Amino acid sequence: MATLREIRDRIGSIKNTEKITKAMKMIASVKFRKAQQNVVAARPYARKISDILRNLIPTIESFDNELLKQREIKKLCVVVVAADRGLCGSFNTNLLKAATTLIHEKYGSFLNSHDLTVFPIGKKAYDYFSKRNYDLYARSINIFDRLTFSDVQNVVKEIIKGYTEKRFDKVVIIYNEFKSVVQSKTVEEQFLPIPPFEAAEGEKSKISNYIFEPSSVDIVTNLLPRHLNTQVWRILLESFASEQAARMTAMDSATTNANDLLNSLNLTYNRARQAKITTEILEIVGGAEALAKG
Amino acid sequence: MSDSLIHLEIVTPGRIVFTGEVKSFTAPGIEGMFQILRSHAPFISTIIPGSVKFTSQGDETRNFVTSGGTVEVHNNHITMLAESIIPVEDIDIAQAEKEKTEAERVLESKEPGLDKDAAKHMLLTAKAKIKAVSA
Repeated sequence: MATLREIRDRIGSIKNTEKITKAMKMIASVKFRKAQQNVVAARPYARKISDILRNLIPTIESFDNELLKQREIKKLCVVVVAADRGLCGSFNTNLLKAATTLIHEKYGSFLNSHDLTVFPIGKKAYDYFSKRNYDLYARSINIFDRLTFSDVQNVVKEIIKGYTEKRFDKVVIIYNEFKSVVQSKTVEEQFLPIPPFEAAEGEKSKISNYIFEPSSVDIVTNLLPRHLNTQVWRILLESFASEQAARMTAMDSATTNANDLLNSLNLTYNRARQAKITTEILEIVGGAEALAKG
Repeated sequence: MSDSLIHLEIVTPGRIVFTGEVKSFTAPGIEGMFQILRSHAPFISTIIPGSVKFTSQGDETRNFVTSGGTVEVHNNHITMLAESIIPVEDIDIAQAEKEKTEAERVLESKEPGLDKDAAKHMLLTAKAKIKAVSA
């Protein structure tokens, strides 16, 4: 049985751990709330851009834009969005596992002919894929701490550059979509070529009498990259929100576990202390009896 | 008075900067500055870096500087989608000067791999900021 001192030391160290996990949980919940606000705040802008595009694109006859056009898919780029940090439960593991399965099963033929590149976002994704010798197109790490729109613009610029230089013909993004605090879902989305916008009924005539400055083609050409920016912005914000939510839950259960452990250790400690006292008393009584007999 | 007002909404990816009724709205279109008043025809324009202003109900004029975006006018609603937009009074002039010098350095250097388009854009935005502050 462990000595009293050993048990006391363990209790001390677990108390420390509990303090840390509790603090991490509180920090995560603050960051989570902020991330959630950002997700909501980003919506009007994104909605308006896709509204304009949805209305405008069908009115342009034989519109030819590289970002919209389907071409034969010879090469593929997979963007994987994970976190920069760990200690967030199964957030990273689940995502990376899903990404690997997808790459090997759905896109296995591209992988085997070395026509698949990975673009990891987040340090955990980068570590994972670089360690396993995947071909990396680019990487973006340590961006979640102070995520700004210009970080997103750089990421998108990089992807568009590779796409127009024909280094890949299709881009998909894998990320954790935010469902609720206890639930996030790994989803795959096609990023490039841009999936067709569904035209709203009866909108066509409404927009055709607009004055365009410059032409409607120029406006759409200008809006498409910005539409992509808002897509990635939303995806990164959602991923960050679910990362923080996952960390909140993980740290909450870590704190509960630490508490349980502390309770049982306290019990063991008290028992050991009591046993020690009993032994001492027995010894004294035994000694006294021996003296009395003598 | 309400028959001379038009609804304006300025949004960026981060937040809604302004929403409310205004008398007039002026922005730098790609083909020149334009002003929007009530009952303007449906209109969409690309905005270049420059100063944006609007006059509110109380004849109070507010000035902003944008790095570019898009404006849509429809049915007495103006929607301005700006990548970034800041009020003139919030501009950090030292920071703007620094951006200008940096952009000029990139544009003049012959190093390969530099993003000249982005630098040009940054230069225009920085110049617009400096001009707006000194005006």
